[in-house]
Amino acid sequence: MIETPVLICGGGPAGLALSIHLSRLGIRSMVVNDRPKTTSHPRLDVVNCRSMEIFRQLGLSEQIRANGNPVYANQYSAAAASASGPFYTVMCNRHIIYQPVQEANARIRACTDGSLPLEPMQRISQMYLEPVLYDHACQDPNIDVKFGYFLFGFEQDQEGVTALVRKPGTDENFHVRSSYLVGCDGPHSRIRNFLSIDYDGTRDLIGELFIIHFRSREAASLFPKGEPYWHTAISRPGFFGLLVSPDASRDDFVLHRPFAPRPGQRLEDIIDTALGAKVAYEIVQSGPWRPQFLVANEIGRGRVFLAGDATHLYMPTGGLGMNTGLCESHNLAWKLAACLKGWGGSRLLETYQEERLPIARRNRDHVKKCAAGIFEFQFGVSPQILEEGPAGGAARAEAGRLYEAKVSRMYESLGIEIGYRYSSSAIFPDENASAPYEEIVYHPAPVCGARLPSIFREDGTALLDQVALDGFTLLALGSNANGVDSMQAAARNASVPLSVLHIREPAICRLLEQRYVLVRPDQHICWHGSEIPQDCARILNVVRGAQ
Amino acid sequence: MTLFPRLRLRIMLSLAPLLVNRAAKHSSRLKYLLETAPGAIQVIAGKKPVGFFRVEQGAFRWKRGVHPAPSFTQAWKTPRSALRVLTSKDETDILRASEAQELSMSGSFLTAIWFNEVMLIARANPAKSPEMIRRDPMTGQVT
Repeated sequence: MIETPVLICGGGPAGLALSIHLSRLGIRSMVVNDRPKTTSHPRLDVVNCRSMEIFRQLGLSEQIRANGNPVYANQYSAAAASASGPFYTVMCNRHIIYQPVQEANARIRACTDGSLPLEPMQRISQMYLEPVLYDHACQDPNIDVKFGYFLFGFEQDQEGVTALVRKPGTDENFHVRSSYLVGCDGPHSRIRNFLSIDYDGTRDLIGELFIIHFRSREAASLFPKGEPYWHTAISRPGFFGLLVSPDASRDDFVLHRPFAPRPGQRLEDIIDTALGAKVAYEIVQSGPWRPQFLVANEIGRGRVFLAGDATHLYMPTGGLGMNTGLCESHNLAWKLAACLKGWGGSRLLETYQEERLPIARRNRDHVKKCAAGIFEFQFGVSPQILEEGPAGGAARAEAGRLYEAKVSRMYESLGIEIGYRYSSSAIFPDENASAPYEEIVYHPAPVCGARLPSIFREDGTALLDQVALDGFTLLALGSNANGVDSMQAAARNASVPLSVLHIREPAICRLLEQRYVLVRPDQHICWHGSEIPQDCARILNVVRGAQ
Repeated sequence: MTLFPRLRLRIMLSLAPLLVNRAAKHSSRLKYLLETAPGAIQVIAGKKPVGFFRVEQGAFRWKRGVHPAPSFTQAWKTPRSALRVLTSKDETDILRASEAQELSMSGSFLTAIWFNEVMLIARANPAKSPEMIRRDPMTGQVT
């Protein structure tokens, strides 16, 4: 019997990020994955701003950027008749999201009101993201990576989980005893099935779409500076499609179509139509797939938890599949570590579902609206769009306007990415947090449950970088915030790691409004106040799930 | 020539509420969908209105004619193409028809997704639909 504190089933981004995060907190884990290698499919094409902030906290953001779209390259989204044009619009300057990482970083550094994320998004495909995480996990002595093995079954009791792990096609199997089991094992999660937890939505609402992955050196030449746009929505009479370049420095392209080719129809003809020019390419793979809008009814039971696609399955419009999964891992990791180290209260792990399930549902609704926007754009394209003369010009201008109106929400929703707020028994109620928050626009709000707004200190350090990964951080704001001793004493008594950060900068004090702000390891505010109350042990008991 | 397909189309669409309202008695999800219905769905064929779906007091209804402010509109080139696609077992036919310009759609596609979910549940065979597999946790056997 192998013993490990946490057994993670599934070695995709959510599972590997969870294992790395746990290791950063000093917790060993084993990652079991059916596939012997990381994915060879492009799959996701973006690590969003919040996920990049999480990777920054784990010390991985630079490696991920080094393996993705170059920092000088565009992250544009365009609408066109084909990749050769005419282009109806190119969304490049209307939001920070589209800007090359180095330009976006400059804007972020100059931002003083907390309205921007700490990290820009990163255009990268999953097939190049996973190896970064995998290599990192393999080199980490706290992580036992077992790719090419699958979890055959498990049972849980009061003290832990016993699982049987097998190597497919062989007699090799072994038992693993862990304190916790986390299923990051994708849409067909065995863990979720074993727990008899189903998704809550109706499947196949859009039907069956089709994807073609091809490689071409020459296709880049169709774009200005030889730098393919991130997304090119192709729409003209008789043809719809979305051409994705997950990384402008690589040859990979993905063409999404609303249906599979008819028998006898050649994939090459479809690609040629999308590109609008004859260039050389190699088709790597193609096949149908079914977009979904599903969220699991529960995301944990007892000592077993779910994260990633096991909890939610979204159409990729809005890029929230893996990115929601990473936030789930991020929420879960510190809670597992706290419980394993003894300072997490008995209710702390219950708050994982309380906090994350509403976000999964909210993200699902957003993704559905984004999908609707794409279809509405396609339907609105005029039959005259390719005509020469004023009528055609007007139709193309209208298509550009329609694309920006309908599709921009898919990219520009910082409210969804960094504005989400948790509500649970481990977060103090905040009357300012009850107001609905927007999906598109992010308003930095220093309310309980929200992510701490990102702002830079006078010495250039990012405030988010100063939030402790392995415990709570008490921000003491202003020259009068001196009453932290009682909170530190209460933390010592409860063995809760607590760092205190004294902040004098007026801009930060104005932004955060309160004199004291308590921030969790996942960078979310869990309590704030103008005074440290006498019974501050109660505050710590609530936020560590012990009350 | 087009009269007969139009009549068939109208009869077919007018039967949908029977299916939906009967299924709603057994499906809490469908009941919820009917309670949270968006606006009307207008169907047009051959440039003439066929009718529209709407929800009234929690019941799914079909009415002939034109809705003054539909939430979503399907405009078919001909009643024949509407009949062919709407009775097809190939779920991709509707988007193929759209690309082939046999069908134009306008309004909120969220309403179209809502309608699709309503019809999927109404037509579902409960014995086949759940993906969930129950297994013994240690042996992995389907129980």
